[in-house]
Amino acid sequence: MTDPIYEILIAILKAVIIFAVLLQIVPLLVYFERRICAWIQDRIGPNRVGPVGLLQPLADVIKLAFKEDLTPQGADKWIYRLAPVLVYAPAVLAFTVIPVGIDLQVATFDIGVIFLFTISGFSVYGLAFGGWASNNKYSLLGGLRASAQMISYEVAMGLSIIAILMTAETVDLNEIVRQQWGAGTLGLLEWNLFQQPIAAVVFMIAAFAETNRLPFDLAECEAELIGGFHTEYTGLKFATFFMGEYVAMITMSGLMITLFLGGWSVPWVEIPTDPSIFDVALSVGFFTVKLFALLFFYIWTRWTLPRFRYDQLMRIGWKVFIPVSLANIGLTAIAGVLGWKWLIPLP
Amino acid sequence: MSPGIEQLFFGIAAVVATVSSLLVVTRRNPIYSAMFLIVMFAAVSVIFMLLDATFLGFMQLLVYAGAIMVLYLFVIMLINPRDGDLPEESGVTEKSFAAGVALLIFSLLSFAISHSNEVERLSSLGPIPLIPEVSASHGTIRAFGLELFQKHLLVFELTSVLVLAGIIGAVHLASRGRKDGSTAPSAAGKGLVNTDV
Repeated sequence: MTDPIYEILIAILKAVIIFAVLLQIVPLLVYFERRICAWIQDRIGPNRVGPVGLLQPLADVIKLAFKEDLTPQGADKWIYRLAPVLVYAPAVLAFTVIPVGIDLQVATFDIGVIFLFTISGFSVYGLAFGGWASNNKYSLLGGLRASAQMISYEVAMGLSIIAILMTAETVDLNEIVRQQWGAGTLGLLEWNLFQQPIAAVVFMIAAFAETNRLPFDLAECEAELIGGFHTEYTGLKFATFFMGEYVAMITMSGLMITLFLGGWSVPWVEIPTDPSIFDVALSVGFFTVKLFALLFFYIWTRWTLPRFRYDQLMRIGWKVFIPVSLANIGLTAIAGVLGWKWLIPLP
Repeated sequence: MSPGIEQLFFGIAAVVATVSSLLVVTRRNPIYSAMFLIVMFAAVSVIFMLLDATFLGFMQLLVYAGAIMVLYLFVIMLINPRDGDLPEESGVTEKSFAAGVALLIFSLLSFAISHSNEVERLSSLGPIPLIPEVSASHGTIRAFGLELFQKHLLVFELTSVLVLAGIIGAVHLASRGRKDGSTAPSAAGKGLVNTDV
């Protein structure tokens, strides 16, 4: 650990592994999405390519890669090319601070939450620039909606995180996870989901809006805007937008798990001070299980709820979620001053 | 980080900040100007982080590059200027006037900085390092919060009154145009104010 070259190599290795895993989860997630949606709608879903259709994502990728890559007339070429990258890169970058196992993350930042929140907010530029550069009125409307929606729900999300930071008194994600550990099955009550239920609900809904998922996918909204900001995109540029959306979903789920669902901590196993490989693997496994459960929740919601209208989206954002999370901050402050453990009095 | 690497990063960030702020004022299309302004904010936040003011650097990114620029972009996209709609390039007289004003402000600022008491006091101690030495806890949230809520509490509270006045003004402006109270106020109007902290 003393040799700087060794440390740099470890850091590069971690970055490559996380990048590769994120890249691999996306096609898997698309497959799950299509199968689960088919199951919810009482259809069969893709099952022809490979065993139970598992090679379908590969076929999709080949199709996208060999599609003709069109740039619409009158489009701003530079920004048009830049936009998909601006959606994908922040989502991957933001994931680097999420601890996926015992003290295991790519980038160790003492202000992890703020880093993640800042960087993931940057993906809005991809949607806005992409919508503008396409020279298409539907794309432009999609980009406009995306920027207004993101900025509104970022406020609600930030305020819900503040309540967590107030009880945790730290912005270190690993420390927040450690605080959520409790012995035994009752230890699950230490999760911020139960300590801060209002913040958890607001955060989850804001996460749906931030990742442009139904019921908040107003920036795409195929019924009104064809495809919104990505109407004009084809081939790999479209695929990059698509992957960016899914990686953002993974990143937001990772943050949700870390802040509210106990992160990598395993409630039945005490957090070791000097973890062995087995301990780390167990924590990574537990994190992964929660991640996929939450991703299933995302997909389940998407195929269950209808889309909001745009004015409804803005109204509940500004008139419900922001006041509610502000009130939650007030309650947390009062509880903190009085020395209560918020909501559930535990010994 | 070793001082050499820090100076290298400082050099890159400084060059990027300078070039992109030049591009902000020279691009004709406002979308490009906004884009380079974002790059400029990012480069300045890198400089903050090199000065161990990590929290301030991220606030710069979050508030300016992340929030305020989205609103700028929102307005620019709402107007949606295309190359044909842009006004004629301004003439030589206007350009030279603008250059003169910029030069005047630059020389005033550099005079003021080079003759300030602080710089004179520091330079009497020896050569000024490019990146000053500070304690490790200098830029943390804790240090920042203590400074803000103890030393500068009055200024902080006064700023919040200013922001509140802005919000009330904008809500008033947004609601004045509406005859019936049934429709929701325009999202853009509301969004423009509340995040502008």
